Amino acid sequence: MLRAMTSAASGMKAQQTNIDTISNNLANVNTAGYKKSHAEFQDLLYEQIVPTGRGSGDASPTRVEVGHGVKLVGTNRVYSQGLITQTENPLDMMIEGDGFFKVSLPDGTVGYTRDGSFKLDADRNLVTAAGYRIEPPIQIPLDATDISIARDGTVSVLLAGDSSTVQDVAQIELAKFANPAGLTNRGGNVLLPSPNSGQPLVSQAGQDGLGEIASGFLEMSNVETVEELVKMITAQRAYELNSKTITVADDMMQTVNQLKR
Amino acid sequence: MLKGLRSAETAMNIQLTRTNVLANNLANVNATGFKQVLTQIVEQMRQESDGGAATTDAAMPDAAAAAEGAAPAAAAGRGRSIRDLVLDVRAPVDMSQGTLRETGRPTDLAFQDEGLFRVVRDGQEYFTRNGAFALDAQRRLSTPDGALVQGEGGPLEIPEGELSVGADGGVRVGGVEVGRLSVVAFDDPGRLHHVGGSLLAAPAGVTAKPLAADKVRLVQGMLEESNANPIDTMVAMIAAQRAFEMDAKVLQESDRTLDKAVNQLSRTA
Repeated sequence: MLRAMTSAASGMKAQQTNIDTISNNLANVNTAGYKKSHAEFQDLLYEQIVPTGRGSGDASPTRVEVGHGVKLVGTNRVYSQGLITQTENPLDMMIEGDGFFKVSLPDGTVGYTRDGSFKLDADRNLVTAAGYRIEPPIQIPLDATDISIARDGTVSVLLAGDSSTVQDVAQIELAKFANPAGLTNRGGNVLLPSPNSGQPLVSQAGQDGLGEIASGFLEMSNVETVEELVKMITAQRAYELNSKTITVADDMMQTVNQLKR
Repeated sequence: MLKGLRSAETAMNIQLTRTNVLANNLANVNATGFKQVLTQIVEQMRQESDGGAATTDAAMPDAAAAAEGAAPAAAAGRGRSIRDLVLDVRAPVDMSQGTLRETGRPTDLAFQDEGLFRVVRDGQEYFTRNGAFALDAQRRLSTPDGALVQGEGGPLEIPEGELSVGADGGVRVGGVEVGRLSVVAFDDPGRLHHVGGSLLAAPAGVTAKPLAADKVRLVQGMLEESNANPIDTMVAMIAAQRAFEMDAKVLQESDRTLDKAVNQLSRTA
């Protein structure tokens, strides 16, 4: 009886995390480069029991197993392409296909992001909205008048006073992972590698299976609101089902308590 | 007289086990690839002779749950021998199809018909309908727990490139076949048992048979949802609860009879 209660409790906990994941997805429906997460569940351990009224039980074609409920195994990030918006700002970039931009974090480590809304800081370095420099660093000359970024990530400028010579000043590198689902979320649209994700494969855009860069566009989140709301309703109903189980188990316990008056 | 108490106790225990199984089914109503466990209550003939308790399993299957069981003792042969009908519970795994949910992830696979994936964890072979796979750091197809998905020649290593899995289980990267998923079936899949982590294990003597490629119907980018039916399970759970209450009443009634016999009969005598 208590097992029914703990199973139901595990179900309620799992559905709560499910709701947490869904609401985080919905909250980030307008976040550039955000990838939606999906909570994935698995059943918990089972106890094989020989019920009352049976001796050895070996002649039985099936055994009786009682599970201990459900657990959350992971929140799988779905890396499908997000919605595309045109911004006409050349420093806004999106990756068409696989890959991440590399940024250097304040502690010196390299982070990875799909958020391509880059800006120039006071030293004319290409930085993310949070101020992290793109890695390797790219500095735009002070007298550059026109910045353009090619599909392979080549950054070129026109210098003031010379409108005929296009100068290549830098090359943007992209990275990809064997198992992007294994990346850990740092927040602020930045992901970090983990032992599960594997080592980053760094290359130029458009090569080695990496996507190409489209400048003047931003990749928004890939969250679909209808899908998330349906998931939310299902999660709520599952939560209610499990709470009903607790009521049933409680009533049964009460029956036992009333056996001896 | 004590038999009434005993059979009510057995019946209550069975309803308890049923409730526990049903609660687990309900808890897993959202678990990918979960196969619900059915509960069947059967009447069983038990024979006790003075040689000790020997149980025969000549069951009368599928008797309804409502029966209180425990028919009075019948035939007595040489020596002391009691034949007794008792209730028992069976719990086969229901392998029926769950609905499919689209995910769009290339490493998500689902069966549309029969079939089970073969996976190996810690050297042990398991079977699963949960195709929520991912590539591990060595680009091997694995479950979220790290159990390796088996191809026909061992774990499947997926080279860099666009992964496509055919309906027959053929794994292709960039159009080139790099392996074939090992898909198995069982004559009696109900005998498989859960080991947690959406894995099923086969008991001794039950062997997996490879499923012919033309019978495999795999879809990529989809996952199979749990086949636990919340409505049926809820109804079964309420029924179990009410049966439990009835059995409790029987137990109390037996106790009252016993009370009469022990305390009141002796007084009048």
